[in-house]
Amino acid sequence: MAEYANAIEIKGLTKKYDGFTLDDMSFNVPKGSIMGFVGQNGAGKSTTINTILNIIKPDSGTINIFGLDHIKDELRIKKDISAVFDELPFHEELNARQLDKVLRNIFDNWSSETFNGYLDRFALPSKKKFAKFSKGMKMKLQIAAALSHDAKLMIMDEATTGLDPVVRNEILDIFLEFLQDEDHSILMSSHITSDLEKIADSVTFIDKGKLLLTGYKDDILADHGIIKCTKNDYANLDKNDIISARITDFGAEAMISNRAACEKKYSGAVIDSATLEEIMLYYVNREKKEWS
Amino acid sequence: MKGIMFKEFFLSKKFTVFGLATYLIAFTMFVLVKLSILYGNIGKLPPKTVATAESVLYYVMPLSLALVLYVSVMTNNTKHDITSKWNRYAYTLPLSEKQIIGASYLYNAVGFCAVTIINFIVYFIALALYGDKFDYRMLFIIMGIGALCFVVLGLNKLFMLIFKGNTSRSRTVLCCIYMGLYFGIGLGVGQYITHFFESRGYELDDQDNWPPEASAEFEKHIAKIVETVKDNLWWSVPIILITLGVIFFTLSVKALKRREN
Repeated sequence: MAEYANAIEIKGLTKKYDGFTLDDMSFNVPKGSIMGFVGQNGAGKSTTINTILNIIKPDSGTINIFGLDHIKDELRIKKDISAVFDELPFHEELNARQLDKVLRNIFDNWSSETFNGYLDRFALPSKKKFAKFSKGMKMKLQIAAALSHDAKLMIMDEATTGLDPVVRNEILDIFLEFLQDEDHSILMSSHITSDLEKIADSVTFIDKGKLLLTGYKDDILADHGIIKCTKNDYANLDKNDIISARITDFGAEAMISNRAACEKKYSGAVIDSATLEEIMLYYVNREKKEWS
Repeated sequence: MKGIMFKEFFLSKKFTVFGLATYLIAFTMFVLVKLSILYGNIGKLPPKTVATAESVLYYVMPLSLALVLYVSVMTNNTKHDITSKWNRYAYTLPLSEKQIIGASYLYNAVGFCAVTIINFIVYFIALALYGDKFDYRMLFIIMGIGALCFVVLGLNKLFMLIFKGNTSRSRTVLCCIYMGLYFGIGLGVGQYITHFFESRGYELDDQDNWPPEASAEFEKHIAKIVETVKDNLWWSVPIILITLGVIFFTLSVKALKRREN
């Protein structure tokens, strides 16, 4: 495989459905990093991921994975990809021992030792049917399978949704371990922004099929801020600086996307740091501009 | 490909064991009933009843029970692939569509061979029990019906793929096809029989029955057709079934390649 800078490169990805359009999506997942793919339910995260995995056919646009075309070089690429879905895709009648045998004969680089190591680590029984697994166990099983064939790229669709914080933390630690190898990358879709705040290097926000923001998490967090002020002070703010504002009985909280410039422009104003969740919330309400 | 074969095997394991146990029980009953016909109480029943029991045993056991189990096991595997979302996961694996479909056809072929072997063993046991001579038409019938099941399973798989796992729609369309074939063939055969009798000048009696000599002539006519096919055109049956198998395989690969829109 040739050298590549981005594990995933998406340009102009478009997919039209009746009532929903994934519109001209373009972003990159840099090699050796973890990208959080954020958006509310129905924003188009799963459509994008399914298109990357070539489960869904795009209407237009190009997707390169490891610098290769995701359709033309599909089989070559898929040797080095692992996908984790929100639901267990393995048959509930199988057990881990049988799954090991199945996947060992599919992936050239499959390591039963690694897989069994993860089973032990996650305390997953090898002879118990998956039907009897809890949601957390099923997710751990998927992750154990995803990490056992030396994949260079993990693509996860809402993998931590519905899990309790303890299990989520455990899984996030595993992802950080996976990223110790600088050839490894992760694209992780989630609407639990706190998880991404912990581990993501870069973040892509989408809403209603449109890309809102993409870039390094630290840059995004540094650029954004919330001006907390009275309603009168809010009336004096330049509305072009504001993404959207929450108006309450006590005053206004306005999200700005150029914090450094706003700090100069509105000297004396209190500009608080924004979390990824707040950024998502204010962007989602950008069309209303003012909300409560 | 081997991995998919293992998956099919693990999925069918429980059902197969259950099926074999059922088969063994049914087979034991078959032997016991035959022994009772020879030496016990069943033999004392009216001759027509005994003859019916014997023909059911003789034909149903070697020809259909194992096939029913075989079709059930394979259909069950296809159903599991859909309910478990495996089909979505399969797209993320480094396997071509040909390999995915090929593996399930290969497993299906293994099932077909196993069932054919079982059917022949049971047929030979039946021959020994009844003291009959080997009829090579049974060779043709056992393999032909098995191959037909193989092809029907291919058609089921194809429709599951065409409708992307929408089992109820796939089932509805398949039911329509099978019922269409069933009634179409029934209607066609009925028309053919009527035409056959009328062209030979037979007429229906007062109770709307054809005269016995007409039925006898028709039976002879059918026997002649069977003989002709058996002696001269027997090769056309495997060719038709293989062609259908290849068509369904190719269409299944195409259906799997057609990504969700």
